[in-house]
Amino acid sequence: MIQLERRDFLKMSAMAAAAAMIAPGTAAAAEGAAPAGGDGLTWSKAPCRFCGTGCGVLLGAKDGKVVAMQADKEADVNKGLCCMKGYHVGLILYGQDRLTRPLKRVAEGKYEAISWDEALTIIAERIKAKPGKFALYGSGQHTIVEGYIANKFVKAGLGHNHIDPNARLCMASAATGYNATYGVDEPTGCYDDLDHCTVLISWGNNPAEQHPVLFSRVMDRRLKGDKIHFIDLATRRTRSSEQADEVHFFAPNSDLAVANGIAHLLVKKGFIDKEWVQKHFNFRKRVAEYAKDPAKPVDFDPEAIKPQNLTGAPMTAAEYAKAIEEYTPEHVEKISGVPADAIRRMADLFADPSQKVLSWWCMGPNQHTRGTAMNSLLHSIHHLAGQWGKPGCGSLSLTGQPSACGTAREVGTFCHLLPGHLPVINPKYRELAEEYWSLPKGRISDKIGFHTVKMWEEFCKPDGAVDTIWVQVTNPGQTLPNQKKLFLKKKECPDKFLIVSDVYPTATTALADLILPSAMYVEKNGMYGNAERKTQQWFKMVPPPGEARDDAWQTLAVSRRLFDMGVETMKDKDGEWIFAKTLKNPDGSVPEAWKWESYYSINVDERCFEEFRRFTRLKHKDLAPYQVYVKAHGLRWPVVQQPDGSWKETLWRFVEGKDPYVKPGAGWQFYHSNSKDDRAFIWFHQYEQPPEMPDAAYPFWLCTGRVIEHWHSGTMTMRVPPLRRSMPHAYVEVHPDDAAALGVKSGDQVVVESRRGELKLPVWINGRGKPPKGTVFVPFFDERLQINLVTLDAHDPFSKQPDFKKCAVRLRRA
Amino acid sequence: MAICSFAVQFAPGTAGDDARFTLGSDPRVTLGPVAGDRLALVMEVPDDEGEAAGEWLLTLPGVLRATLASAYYTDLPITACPTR
Repeated sequence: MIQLERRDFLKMSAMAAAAAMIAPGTAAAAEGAAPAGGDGLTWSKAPCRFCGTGCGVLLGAKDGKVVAMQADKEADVNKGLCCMKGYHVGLILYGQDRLTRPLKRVAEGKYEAISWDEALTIIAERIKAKPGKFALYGSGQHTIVEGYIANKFVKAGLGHNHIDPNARLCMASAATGYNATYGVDEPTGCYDDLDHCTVLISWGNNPAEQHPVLFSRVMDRRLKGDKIHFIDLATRRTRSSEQADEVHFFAPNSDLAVANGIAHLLVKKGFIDKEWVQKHFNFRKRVAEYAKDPAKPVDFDPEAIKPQNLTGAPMTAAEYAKAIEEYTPEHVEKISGVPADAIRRMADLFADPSQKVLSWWCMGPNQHTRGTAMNSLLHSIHHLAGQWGKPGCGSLSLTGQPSACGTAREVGTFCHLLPGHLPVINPKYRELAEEYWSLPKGRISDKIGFHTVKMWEEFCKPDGAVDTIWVQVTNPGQTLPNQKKLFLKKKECPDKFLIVSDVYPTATTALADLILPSAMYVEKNGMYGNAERKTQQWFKMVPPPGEARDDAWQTLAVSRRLFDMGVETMKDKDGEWIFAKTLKNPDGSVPEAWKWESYYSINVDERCFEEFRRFTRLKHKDLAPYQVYVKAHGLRWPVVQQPDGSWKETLWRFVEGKDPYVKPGAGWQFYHSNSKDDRAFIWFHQYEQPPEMPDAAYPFWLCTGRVIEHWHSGTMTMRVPPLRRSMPHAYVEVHPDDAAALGVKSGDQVVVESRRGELKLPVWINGRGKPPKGTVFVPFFDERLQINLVTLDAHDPFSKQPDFKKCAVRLRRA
Repeated sequence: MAICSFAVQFAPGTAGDDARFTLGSDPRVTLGPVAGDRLALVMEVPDDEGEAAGEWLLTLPGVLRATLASAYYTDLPITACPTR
């Protein structure tokens, strides 16, 4: 028998992985291809830790460390592909400065290590003293079970709803857009639409950098000979634009006008499938009055908007046609800058039944003071044209975090939701939650809690309604807009107390009073839910460093400490700890999961997930038992048990034959209809000017976003040497004409200044992206060069999602 | 040295052929099975340059796509990640 050197064996394994990607079956045929295993590594599946795509990866561990990765060819999201961040995912665990002990602030910038016991006591005493002034700020990176425990801890254990996720900054407008349209959240289609579309329209999106695997999935079809017409509607030229058949720049915020322009032509030219529209849709308009004065574009108080306003007011088809009349292609060109002929071409493509039109977007339409409106309009133009509900047709919102859908939306860690995406203002759902959680009647508050912007506003005011925030799995010290107002003001409030659970020092830990070291990614059990409703599970593969511990354990331990202190709300109606029934053994005993040494004596994830699963059935978001996900490489909900006992996922919702909840013969049935008649909505939303626009004092648009090398605030990717080397710092993209007028060249320093703050940045001309004249772009990944000192905290009245994407700035040479 | 594998797709015609020849002549590269215009290959690269290798592949005339399939970081000095 030939004895292989270990290195040769690794090369064979690597070759087998590549061979599997070029054609099915090739891996096995590859000469010398290594069988699975045998390389001395323990391989396990997990979703990637980064974006919301949900790529499947296989991680190889040895001696307690992750040392290798492969894209999971059995994962149908990425089909064996991986992006440059995903390739480095195993390395994010091993930055030199991992947090390994609880740290208590003793003076400005000075911390001392304390025991976990002391840390838990500090938190519990702080909460016990003023439970109503405590808030938990969570994340779309919370695993499903971490989010579930945090949600129950606050809503059942403290009796208020002051918990909100960073997903508020990310996809809250997508959620309100889906809810306003279908009466229920999350995409109706899935990534399989990418395999069938013939026209792909990208709305303010740069998938080549932000969702590279999904972008590759489409571009790969082109390389195989499929014809796909790709239209990039953008505020700057990006790597995605390089692949586009058409690129059209629109003025920031004017995407509403472009969508209305398409709708106008569909109506005017009679391109609407009248029978389909009459049978399955109602027309709707916003309840609030529109601005009469263009100089005061947002004339309503966002906090005054009632949740029930989300469903708007009825309008007839004739009223809709009248309302949309003014959006002629020429009028839209004047507002947006998109050529009238391009609007006509897009309308023609929508109207062509031989085409399958798919729209996709991410932060562009979401981080928008009209985010709910824009998301609703995107669905609406697809409804009008009948470009919906067939494979390849539809409107697909992508997400930026690995479990923005699975945790923030499905577990309902928003301040207005209960698990299962059930609105907390609905008494029926509160009663059900109290029943499922064995709580005394009335424990769950009917008052919506503080949303993200409000939470931090209240925290950063000396007399504000929040005096303690516990941050888990996120970095608001870098990612909140208008940092001076919403985060740095904490320095002026000595009585406020910030608790941060994290894996590395960050801009947020810099102001923390108590820092808790967390286990990260495959150092713990977990589940994520991706942007196409797919739930994925993984097991702990390696131990966390030092005294780092799971976030889920941290919350359970604080909850138990409060129970032991006699805090009444930490008891259920039988006087037991609120998590006792959740974790109970079959023999009725309660495992001491609040003690770290016992935490992994049971599978806390499985027991919590099984409790959570009950909630998911109430809105037809059914999840399968935990053990089904252990075996599967992800399943898209609703996952429904079949007569043979197997569990089947759902690719397209509301479509007969695809969605098990659609009645036979219905064709399409929107069974969560806001109008209770199985119809979805076609919305009319007027274009309005944004809250801040360039003027004589601040003449440039500032747009912000991401780069392919770094994920969000760079906490993980800036610690991976090749990624950091590839993109070492933030910059400002400037148009060559604007640079010439300023007298600057690439590499020169300029000050980017808004009404809220300023930042010195190196100029990049004709660099990664190319903004049009009058617009500049800055990425937000760099902790040392924080563009959120400059951005605006104005937010959508319904979703409360801030508008990071545009504000007015001026530039000067540094 | 890290070990990375890629799935590479070539342009039709001589440009693709030239790219295959270039890769076949590179001592860092081991060519693998072929399926149509696609090829599996393995590269041995300095410890933390796997991503750069992918970028390099894409600079070769005749290479349409280079997709990373796997990476073994066994030899990467993982404590060397930069701090803040």
